[in-house]
Amino acid sequence: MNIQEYIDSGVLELYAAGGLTPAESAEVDQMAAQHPQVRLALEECLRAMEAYALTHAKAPRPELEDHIIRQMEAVTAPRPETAHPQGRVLPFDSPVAGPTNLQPANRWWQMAAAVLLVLSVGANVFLYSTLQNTRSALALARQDSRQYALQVHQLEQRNLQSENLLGVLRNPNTLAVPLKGVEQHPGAQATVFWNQETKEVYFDASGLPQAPTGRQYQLWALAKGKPVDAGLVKPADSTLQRMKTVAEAQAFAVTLEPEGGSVNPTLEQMYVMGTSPGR
Amino acid sequence: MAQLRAQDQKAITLLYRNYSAALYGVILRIVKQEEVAEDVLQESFVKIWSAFSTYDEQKGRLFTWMLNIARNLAIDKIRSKQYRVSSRTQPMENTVTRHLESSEGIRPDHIGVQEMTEQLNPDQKVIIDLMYFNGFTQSEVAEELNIPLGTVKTRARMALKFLSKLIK
Repeated sequence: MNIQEYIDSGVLELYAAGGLTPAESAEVDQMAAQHPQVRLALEECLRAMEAYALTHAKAPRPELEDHIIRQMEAVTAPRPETAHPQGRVLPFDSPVAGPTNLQPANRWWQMAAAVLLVLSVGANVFLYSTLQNTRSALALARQDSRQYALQVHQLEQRNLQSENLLGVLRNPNTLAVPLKGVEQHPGAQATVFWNQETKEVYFDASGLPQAPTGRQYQLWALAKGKPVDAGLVKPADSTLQRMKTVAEAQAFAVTLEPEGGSVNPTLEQMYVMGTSPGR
Repeated sequence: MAQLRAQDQKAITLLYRNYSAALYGVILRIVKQEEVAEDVLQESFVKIWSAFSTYDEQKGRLFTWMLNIARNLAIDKIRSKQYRVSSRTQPMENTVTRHLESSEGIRPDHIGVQEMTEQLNPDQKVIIDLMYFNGFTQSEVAEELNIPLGTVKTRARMALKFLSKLIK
C-alpha cells in the first residue's frame, strides 16, 4: 500500500478518535515515525479531535480546584533534567505563539459567557431569518461555522499559550526571582521568571495589591545600580505575563507609576524588590 | 529547592486552570455522572502531573497527551462497571437512541457549542462519539451499527475532515 492510500484509508482518523486497538495504534505510530507525510496528516486529525473535545468543555465545580491542586502538589514530579541527564530543554517559545501578549489562564468562564452571547445573537438572527428567503439562511449557516471556527481558534491559541508558559516554568534555564514587599508594603509579593538563556522575563503579579485607578505597576531591572524599564504590568492579568527581555540584572523591583509608565522609577512608590542570583 | 517548588506550584495551577474544563467535559461525557467525573478528573490530573516529565513534545501535543490520559481513565471507569455489559448487549437502536439523548440537553451551559457541532452529519458523528466517548473500537462500532468496517472508516474520515475545515 502506498503512503497516499494509507492516509486516505481512514485509519489515521480512527486513531485520532480512539477507535483502534493498541496494536493497531502502534502500527500507526510507526508509520507516522517513518513517513513525515503520514505524521502531518495524523497531526491534523489529532487537532480536529482536540477541537471536538473542546466543544464539550464544562468547568468543574470551583470547590474542586484547591482540592485537586493539593493532590497534585503532593506528587513530586521528577524534573526534566533528572529524567534526562543530558539536559533536555523544553521549547521556550514556539514561533507560532510569537510575542503575542499573554492572556490570563482561567478563561473558561469568559468563554462560556462568549458562547452564550454568540448563541443569543445567533438565536435572534435565526428567528429573523425564518422570515427571509433561503439565500439568507444559507449565508447565516456560513456565519455560524465561521463563529465556531473562531471560537475553536481562540481555544487553540490559549492552548498554545499555556503550553508555552508551562515550558517557561519547567525550563531548567528559568530562574525564579522572588520579590518581597518593602517596609511600607510588607504584604505585597511577586515573582519574576527569568530565562537565563533567552533573557525573556515573565512576571507573576498575583501577590500585588490591586493598582488604584489611573496608576499602573511597572517592573524594573536593576543593572549595575541603574534601573531599566522591564515593562508595564497589565491589570487584571491573573497568570504570568510576558515582560520585556532583560539582558542583565542584579535585582528586580516594582513601582507604582501613573498609567502608561514612567521613564524613571518613582522610588517612594516601590512595592516589592528582590535580588537575582542570575547575571 | 524552594524555587523549584514555586515553579511547580505555578505550573500546576496553570495546568489545572487551563485544562480542567476541557478534561472535565470529556470525562463527564464518558462517565455521565458528575460525582464519578470529579473523581476521574482528580485521578487524571494526579496522573498527568506525576507523568509530566515523561511527556515528550516530539511525540505529540500536550493537550492530546492530557486528553488521552483522561479519556483512558474515564473509559476504564465505565468498563469496570457492570453497565457496560448491559449496554453492549442491548440492541443497536437502544444504544444509538441513548447515545443521541446523551448528546443533547443535559448540560445547559454548553448546548451552544454542541449545536454548532450539530452541523456534523449525524451518521458520522455517531461513529466518532462511540469511539471517543464510549471507547468502542472500529469493529465494535461496525457491529453496533451493523455497517461494514469500510463504512466506519469512510465516515470517521469525513467527520474529521469536516472538523478540520472548521478549525482552519
